[in-house]
Amino acid sequence: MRVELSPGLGFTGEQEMLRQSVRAVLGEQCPLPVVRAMEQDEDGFPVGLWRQIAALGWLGMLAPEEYGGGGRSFLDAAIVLDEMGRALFPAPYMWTVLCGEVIASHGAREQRARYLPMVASGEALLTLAWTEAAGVWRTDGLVTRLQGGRVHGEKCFVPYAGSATHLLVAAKDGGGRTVVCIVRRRQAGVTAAPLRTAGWDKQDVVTLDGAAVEEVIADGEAALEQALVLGTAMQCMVMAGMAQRVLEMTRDYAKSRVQFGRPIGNFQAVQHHLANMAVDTDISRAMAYQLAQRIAEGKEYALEASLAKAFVAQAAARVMDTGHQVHGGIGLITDHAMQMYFLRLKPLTNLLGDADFHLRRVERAMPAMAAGAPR
Amino acid sequence: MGYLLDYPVAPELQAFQEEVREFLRAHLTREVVEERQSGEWGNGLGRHGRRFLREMGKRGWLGLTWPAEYGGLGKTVMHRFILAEEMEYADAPQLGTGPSIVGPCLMLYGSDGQKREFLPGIARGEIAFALGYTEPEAGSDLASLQLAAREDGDEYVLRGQKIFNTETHVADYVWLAARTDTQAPKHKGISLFIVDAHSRGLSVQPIYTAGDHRTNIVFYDDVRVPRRNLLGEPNKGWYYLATALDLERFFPVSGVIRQLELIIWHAKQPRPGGGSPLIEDALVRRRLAELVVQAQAVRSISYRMAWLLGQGSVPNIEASILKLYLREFAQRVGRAGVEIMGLYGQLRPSSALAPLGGEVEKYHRASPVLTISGGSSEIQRNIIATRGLELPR
Repeated sequence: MRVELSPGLGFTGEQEMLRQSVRAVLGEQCPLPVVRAMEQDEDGFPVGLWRQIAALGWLGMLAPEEYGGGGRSFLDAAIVLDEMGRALFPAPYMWTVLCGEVIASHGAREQRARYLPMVASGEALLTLAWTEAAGVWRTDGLVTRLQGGRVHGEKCFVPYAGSATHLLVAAKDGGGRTVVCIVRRRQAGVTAAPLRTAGWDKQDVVTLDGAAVEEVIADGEAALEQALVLGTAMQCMVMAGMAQRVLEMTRDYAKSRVQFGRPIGNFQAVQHHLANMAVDTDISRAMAYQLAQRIAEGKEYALEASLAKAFVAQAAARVMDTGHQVHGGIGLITDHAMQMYFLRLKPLTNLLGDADFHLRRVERAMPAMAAGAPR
Repeated sequence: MGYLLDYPVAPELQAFQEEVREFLRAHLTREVVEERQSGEWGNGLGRHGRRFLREMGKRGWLGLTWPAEYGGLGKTVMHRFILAEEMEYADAPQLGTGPSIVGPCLMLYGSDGQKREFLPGIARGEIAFALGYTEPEAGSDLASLQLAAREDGDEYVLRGQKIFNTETHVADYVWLAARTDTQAPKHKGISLFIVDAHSRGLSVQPIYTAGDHRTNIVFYDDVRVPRRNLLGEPNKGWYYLATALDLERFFPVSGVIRQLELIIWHAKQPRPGGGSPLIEDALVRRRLAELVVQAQAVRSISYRMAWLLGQGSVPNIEASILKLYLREFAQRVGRAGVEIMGLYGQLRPSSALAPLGGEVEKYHRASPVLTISGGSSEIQRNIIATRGLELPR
């Protein structure tokens, strides 16, 4: 089957094995009924499987070896995220690894030593508490305050806050500087109230009422910018994996569903729907992986992350819409996979800035893209 | 060059890229560009265009990836990618049918005599070919072509009509697809011929298109072709044509990216009558940003093509995806350009008031052909669905 095309870069044999291993583990232990069951689960993720993926080294793969990590290429993490998107793996993997990377890049040495081994071992489950009531990914209007080693404020749309062990809280200190506070989730001053989202994914409103802060990352602006662009790149991989699976599913359905005496995949109207899905999926994968490679090579990638998200978020949404169209009535049944992929795309397109948000970032970079006067 | 054309170039190829840029600065004169833009000489087969191509031939760039025995330089596909992108960005004459289709086909299926007779001349830029495929009743359904090639002793006799054969009036030879078997299934009765463009019985009637390009209707009225000008075996032409097509899939993206860069440049300028620059209008800015995102999408699948070709694969589905997305994107760029220019967007290059010398207006005016020629968008979607996704035909 030629449904999945090369993203235009080479994978090592080890990386191919990693992909197979992630696909096998998730395929076996996290089939769609498990994903579905997690919607009603308080933790929202399979705890046993979390321990297992920690043991497999997926959680610590990016962390430096001196902190118990694998020190592997970002491209490895990209493969894992692609496969997790494909399987709709319901767990705060992306958020934990992302917050780990923020600590690794912007935390002091003792902060790295304190948290990174816990990320790698699966003990720590980190999440990002950035947005507030305004629901924006900015730092200038932050209301949450750090005062005397405690934080006060209310955070909205915090992924997996119910089950997290630590929150990375965006706040302003007494001098009005942006900081990131690392806050233990289970303590008197922290409560998390689940939001009822379209995809039944876990997002919470977190109230910080004088919660004790364990550590403070002083350069909050840089830390949050990294969280935004790296998280965006990670989301692109997850969305690429989801689109790929929906493309395959829809193609298989079009080959087997018979109407008017033949498989609907015989009809050119349906074929062109599928061709459009294939183009959107393929370009999304090429962009997401080439961005991942750029990150792995240590190059500047903030603009590329916004370009990729603006494309992939819209393309993946089109893939979901068209997938639904080809599936017809059956895809609307709540237990149908199509429905689950469709709804679970939303937290990915919306968190860390939607396509509109990233287009605005592209707009700011645009004047420099004019090549100079015409010939 | 702006951000948008900054495609990844390996360190060992940077010298070549610089060499190409230097060559273009020196040899892509105003005469060459104007002659090409006049649309009268195909992609560059006028007096100046041919001189330019011969200069390229002197450097071995027309047969850049060919083996030395055929007059080539034996360079990598990435060299070819860079050459194509740099030439397109500069709006230089394209390499043309000879170097990109006839040469690779002859190397694979041609006789020794054909290789000796044509390859060196193609590589030097001295022999130019026109493509002779499309017919009035064979457009997207190319395999339905009817122009008859009847055997007569040591010759074939051609009779029929072609249309949209753009360079026949300026080329030396035509690379012609003709029907040699009328009884066989349509794909199995086609042969490929090399026909002298000045043959007796071959006549050309011009057609002018909205984009100022001259193309032709070509009549073959008992045109005689020696048997030695038949490619390979008779009735295998469709196969030759299809496999050779897969080998030479370069769709440079820098032409449309150049247009987008120009439009962004224009949007930054003060407006006639003293208005603020277009880029300060939020809707204009958003529209351009969407196109910049799509330009990045195009770059990623273009670079992927080069990478795959460099790996020695034959990426046909990937080529269809690139062709489809690139050409539809190019139309969006042209249309956005003339629309944000408002009333000025309708002015032709000959108008003194035309923004950017009318370049974007002309690009837009010529753009409908982009999703039609070289396999229409519908044909590409068919290929992606049936060959890529393996849906039933």
